[in-house]
Amino acid sequence: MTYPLRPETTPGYVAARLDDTTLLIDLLAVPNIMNDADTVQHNGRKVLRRNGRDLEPVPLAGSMQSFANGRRTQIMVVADKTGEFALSCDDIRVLPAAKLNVQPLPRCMGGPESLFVGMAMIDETIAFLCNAEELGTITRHLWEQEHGKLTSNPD
Amino acid sequence: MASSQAILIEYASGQCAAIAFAHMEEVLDAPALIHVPLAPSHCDTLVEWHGDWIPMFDLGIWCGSQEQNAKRFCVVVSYRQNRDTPRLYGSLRSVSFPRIVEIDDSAAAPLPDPRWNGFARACFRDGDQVVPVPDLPALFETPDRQAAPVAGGDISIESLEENLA
Repeated sequence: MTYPLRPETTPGYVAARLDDTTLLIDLLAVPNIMNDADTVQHNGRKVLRRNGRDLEPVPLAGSMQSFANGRRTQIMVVADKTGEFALSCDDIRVLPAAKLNVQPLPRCMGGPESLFVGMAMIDETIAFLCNAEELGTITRHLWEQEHGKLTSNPD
Repeated sequence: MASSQAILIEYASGQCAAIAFAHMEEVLDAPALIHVPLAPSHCDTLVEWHGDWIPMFDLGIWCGSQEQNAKRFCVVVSYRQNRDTPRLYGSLRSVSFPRIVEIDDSAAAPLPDPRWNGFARACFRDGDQVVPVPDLPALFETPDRQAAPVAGGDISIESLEENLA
């Protein structure tokens, strides 16, 4: 798996906290950061309206294997090859790449289920670098297992 | 007959692996840990060590042990992939405080499990236990997708002294 680990390849990263896990995503893969106030009710679901589409924020848990129950107020919109998806987050920060020392994740921590490719310290916390494609795959797969198709279709 | 000292790491109750003295950096008692979501279960934790975060490899889980014993000790190890490459660090989880044994070449033994093929440098008998000597670069530098058990014969063991150097 290849991913830009060198600061010169991206202007920055978005650090998004989901429970105890902080994700680090290339800023170029995050077209917008929104919050709960930007959502509207549509067909009984809370959605963001973006470019004529409804985007349903997914409360992915920090384990990356289930959904969080608590209320989250910040929303990160992520773009991948399939389109856009939205994650509701506990906290979102945007950091210039030059401020972060992103290291590869130890090779023994890689595997068929692995999502993360690197890590960096942010204050006293470790953030895990992932790419938008794999995050999107996991998010859609988990959501669709439990709730059916993720709302991101044209009206 | 040549003899060597090895450090025994009890990765599950009654099951040990050995490393050369020179590869041990420190034994940590209940260190700060961080869970890495979606990493393989035998290696899903980072350990804080001198301001760095290094992987913690649980040989017990890797070998298929189901026991739930608390493994409070963490043995920090160093290794090089080649003589000219920088020293790298990892850690091995241990049920008990590591102990030192003196062994000689007459103790050489076949590997206890085919899983160790390609991941052990040597193996010896200590009392009624068979103790593999992990190949640390192979263990820490192989992603899980390549770590499937390999069926087949045992590694060739020329000299325990050489493999514990």
